[in-house]
Amino acid sequence: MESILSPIWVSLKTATVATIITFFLGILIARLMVDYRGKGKNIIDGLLIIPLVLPPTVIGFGLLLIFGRNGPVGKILEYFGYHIIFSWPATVIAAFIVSFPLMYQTARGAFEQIDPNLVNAARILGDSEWNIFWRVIIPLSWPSIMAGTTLSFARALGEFGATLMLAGNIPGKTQTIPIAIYFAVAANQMERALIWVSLILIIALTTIVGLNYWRSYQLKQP
Amino acid sequence: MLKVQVEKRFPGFQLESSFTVNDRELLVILGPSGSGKSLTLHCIAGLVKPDRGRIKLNEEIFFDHAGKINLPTHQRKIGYIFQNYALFPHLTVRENISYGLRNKNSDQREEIAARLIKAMRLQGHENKYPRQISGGQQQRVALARALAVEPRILLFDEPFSALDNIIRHKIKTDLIKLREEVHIPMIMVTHDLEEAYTLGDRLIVMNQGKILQAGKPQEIFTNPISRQVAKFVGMRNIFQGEIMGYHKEDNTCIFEWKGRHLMINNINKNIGEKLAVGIRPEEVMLIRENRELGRSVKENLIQCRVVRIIPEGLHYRLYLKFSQDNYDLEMLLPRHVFYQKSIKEGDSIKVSLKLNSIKYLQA
Repeated sequence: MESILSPIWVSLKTATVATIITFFLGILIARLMVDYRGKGKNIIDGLLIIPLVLPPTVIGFGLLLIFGRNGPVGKILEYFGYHIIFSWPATVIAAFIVSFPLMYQTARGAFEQIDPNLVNAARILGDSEWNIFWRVIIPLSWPSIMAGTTLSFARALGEFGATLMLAGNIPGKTQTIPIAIYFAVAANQMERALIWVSLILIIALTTIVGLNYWRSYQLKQP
Repeated sequence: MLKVQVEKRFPGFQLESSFTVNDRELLVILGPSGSGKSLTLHCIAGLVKPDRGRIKLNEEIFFDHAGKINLPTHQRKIGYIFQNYALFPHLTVRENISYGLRNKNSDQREEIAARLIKAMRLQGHENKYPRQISGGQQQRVALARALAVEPRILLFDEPFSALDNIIRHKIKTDLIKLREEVHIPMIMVTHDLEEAYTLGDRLIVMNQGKILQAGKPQEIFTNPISRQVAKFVGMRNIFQGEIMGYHKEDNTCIFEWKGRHLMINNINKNIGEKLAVGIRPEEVMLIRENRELGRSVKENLIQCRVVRIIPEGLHYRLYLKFSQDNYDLEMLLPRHVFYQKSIKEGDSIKVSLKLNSIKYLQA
């Protein structure tokens, strides 16, 4: 009998690592896109957020094409002796792909709402672009970034379809909570499923309610 | 000394402006929205890159198109006061003021900040956030923040537009004091006539990206060179007419306007030439019916009817009519004069357009 805790551990590891990657890449790419004035801006933006609207199995299919044995990235990794499919890193990749758009959009929205004169004022006062990013842009976007991070974590935790296709259902390695629930129900192990379902519900509720409290606290600021 | 010569083209708009500002001089750029005045400031600050030209402050070249030099904004060491102040909302007053002082050690930072907080009368507010202080105080924080980095030039973008009149007066006094203490060039951009007139050492009138006239404010106000400039400096009476004749004895011309013959100073134009002249509403004189008049005032008497009275605080603006048009003349009367005469709409009054107040508008 597999440990009840094993999927919890896998999920937490996966979601945490995926969220860390999403956090940094999301902020970085949002920053670059805000300043980008090139021709394909809308198309690039579309590609970056398309995982939000695609069915998870489509995303899974796409990821298999890229990371599979014959895919562009898969071939390179093969060369170095890595097999991504059905390994734990694959869960992270799947979780990252679906949570990235949330972080990217939130961060970009926050950056674009900053009064450009604040950035101009900082420039005139002698700050380089990098300093301005840390001293002005990030502090002013922090509430949004926090919200984006929380949403990304929740989304990463709940990933199922793409994870199953790319990482499979390997207990102890790639069996996240959502996958464990699915297979428990399929095997009519309802009590096992219920434990994990309740856990996910608690985490999700805590996240949302926490975010709401945070928002009303923000609004109450003098 | 700042030497500016810039050209910048946008779809449907072209900026072409060229001027100098000396140390301790406050140059005011006056013009309507969209005239290019803020754009000029942005070019000097490096926020916008001109297409062509040269910007040089003392010996340092900020921008030179031919020499392919474009010093980035953060290296230009200038001061800029934005119209909405652009104070950092997440920093306190003290932190805002110290923002540009990263390269100094903490003792120096404290000393400079303390000095400026005192100079700008902000004691007691150092730890407040911008949203917790008044508009006038925010202005002073913006000024202190700009001065903290010892800028070599100060740029003001419509600094008074968000303030009420009482605060405006105080800030103007601050500005005048500042000019005496700080020996750098200053440029102020505004669309407000009164500020342009009272604060500037020199004035530039701009519209649609071009400089229309440059000189001392008093000079431009009394002798605008064109109809456009006349409108911008408040010379709202502009008469289109024709030269009818001459009086050689006193070197005057006869100018025909709406059926009236006005006596104006000789401008060496031929008879029959059509041109425009103007007179400021404040220079239209009210004539008391039975008062004995000196010769110079007898000229250009017009009997007209008051069709509209607009109170404007310290004075009253009267619209006068004698022809078939809606109105022909604007007159500005100080409040006490208006009350004294108890003028009402519909009254018939006599006014005089003094000879030396009527100015020829060259374009």
